[in-house]
Amino acid sequence: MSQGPDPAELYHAMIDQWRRVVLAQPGFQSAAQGWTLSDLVERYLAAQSTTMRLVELSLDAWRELLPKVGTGEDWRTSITALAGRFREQLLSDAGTEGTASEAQLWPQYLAHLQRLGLPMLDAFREAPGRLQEAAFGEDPELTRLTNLFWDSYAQTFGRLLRSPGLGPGRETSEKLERGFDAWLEWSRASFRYQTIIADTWVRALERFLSELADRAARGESPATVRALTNLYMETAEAVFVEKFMSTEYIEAQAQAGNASMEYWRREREIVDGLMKISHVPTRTEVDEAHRQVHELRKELRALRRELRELRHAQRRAPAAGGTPHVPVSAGAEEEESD
Amino acid sequence: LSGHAPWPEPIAVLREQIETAGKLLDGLEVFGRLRAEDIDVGATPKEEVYRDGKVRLFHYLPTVAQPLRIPVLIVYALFNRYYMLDLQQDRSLVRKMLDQGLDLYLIDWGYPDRSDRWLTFDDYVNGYLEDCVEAVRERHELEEINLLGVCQGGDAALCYAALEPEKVRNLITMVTPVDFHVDGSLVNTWIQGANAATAAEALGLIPGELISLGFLIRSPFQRHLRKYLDLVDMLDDEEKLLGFLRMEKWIFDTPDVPGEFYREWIEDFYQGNKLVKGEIELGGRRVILEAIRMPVLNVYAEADDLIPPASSMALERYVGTTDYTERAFPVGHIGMYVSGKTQRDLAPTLAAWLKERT
Repeated sequence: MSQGPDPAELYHAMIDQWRRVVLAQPGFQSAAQGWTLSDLVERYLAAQSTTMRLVELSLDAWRELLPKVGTGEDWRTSITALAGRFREQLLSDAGTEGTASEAQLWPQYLAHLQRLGLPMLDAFREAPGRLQEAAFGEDPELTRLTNLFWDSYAQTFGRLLRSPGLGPGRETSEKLERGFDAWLEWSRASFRYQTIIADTWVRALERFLSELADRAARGESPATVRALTNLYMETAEAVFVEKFMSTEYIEAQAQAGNASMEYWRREREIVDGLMKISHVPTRTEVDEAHRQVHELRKELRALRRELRELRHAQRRAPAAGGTPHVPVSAGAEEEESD
Repeated sequence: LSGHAPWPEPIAVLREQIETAGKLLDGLEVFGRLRAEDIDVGATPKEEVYRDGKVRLFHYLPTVAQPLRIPVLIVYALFNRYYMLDLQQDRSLVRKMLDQGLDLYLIDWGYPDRSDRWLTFDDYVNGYLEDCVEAVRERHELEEINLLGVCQGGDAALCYAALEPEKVRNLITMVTPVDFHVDGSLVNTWIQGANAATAAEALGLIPGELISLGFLIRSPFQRHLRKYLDLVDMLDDEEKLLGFLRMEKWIFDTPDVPGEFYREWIEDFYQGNKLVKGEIELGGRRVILEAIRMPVLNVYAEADDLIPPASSMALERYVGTTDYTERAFPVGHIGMYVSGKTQRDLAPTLAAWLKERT
């Protein structure tokens, strides 16, 4: 075993030094005004840091592994055991969220919604008359709704939320419930996806350590840090691509993606409700206006096309010496049949 | 095993650190000289000859005295910007085609915004593409023109040629997906489970960043990390650095995609594989590839992991033409536009094929 400075630490020191040098240069500041250049430098440094962190993790693992290898223990078994421990740590950290009850998640959902509600609620504070009363009066509707959920949750562990709503807040209440369901589904799907990714990182580490061990046994260890990081990236990439093709990953990715879209859709329903009571056009209304413009443009295009074909036909008519056949566009046919 | 260190010797690391630091400091000088405007993509001279909203039709200024009589209209994909065909002076398929004597037009789809949320595949094919074809026909007083469809633009060109065959003299498709259910593409596989309708409804416009991410994640370490680490080797070479920056700009300059178009593209093309089934319907008319009876040149990339060769090669089984030609290049999807091999051979191949048929 070689003694001396840790290669990973040395490389980290170099990255930090480079970052300090770059940022201290007066020339850099002006060059960085173009987004591409500053972005590029950041990406470069981030890539270095990320890769070195990964390699560092691997080297730490190797240090732990080495004494066991020295005792004659089968090193492949040791790597597998080490990877298993990493996996357990990763998943137990993440497991808190994954196993949280709905009662624990509901406040998180409300907190998530706050990012949407707050600017709107701030606007309500300045609104005159009934709107202000409705939003921030003695018994503001939103607060009442929120309290309803909090109270009902505390009393029934969420079951009351599934029962039909009553009173003026019924519709809003249902939208919030649907949003919660979607948010919950998204959280679950996202957790499952992240679990698979975490497991894949561990597998990548496992394979990298095995590859290092194989090479060390052959006396072919990477000669430079660059070669070491390249080896890591090639090994890890292969592991990730294998996982990407697996049914487990494909299903998890689709579920997470679709659940996030469904939540986004539900969230918009809630935001639309807030917009309406503050006299602001909703996204749905604006989209509907765009749809009507789109349909009108389609009709206009069909008419233009018909006119163009008519002109073409007229131009051809004298040469043909007869009455031109005037083609009718699909759009015009539809209009006639209507 | 324990006799060998699994990582580099510390002295080697120190040496590497010194060398790398030197490269980085040299590179700083080059960085200091560059400005964002130096990333001059799409620089081949061209003029705008038609516009409809965000969509523009460009005519490239010919570089030969007598260009080919029948012009070529290039139909690029909506998911990326067209200037990949004209990335820089010495890596420009457009410039090389001009030098081969072709008269070129190109459709720039622009950057759709929320007002384009309802645009459909029909709008692009029977609307914008049809209008651009008309504009070129009128300018040249021609009944037929040549179409060159690239990637997804190839599908638009195929649909158009099937619906309006009398207006297309020759059809070229380049790295174009035809059979969307062939094996070998990660993107194909992933898309099968996507709920495009919900995404369109939720987002209205599908963000370009999301689309970029989908493409890049195919090889996360190569496309996210390694290329930036390898950058250190080109930092002191201004031309190479500019080339890298232009490519970087193109990769992340991904327009948003109209939700309705996206929904149709995913559901009908990727999931339903309706193009080869003859089930695509545009403007009340069914797209039957068998109606394509003009000469067809199908160009694909042998190492394309985005559009597997088998997907492009399927075209031969569905078109009705008796004049069908295939040309394969030993490159990947992006390499088709910028690799040294295609920069040398692709434009002459296209030009020779067209000249024989014009």
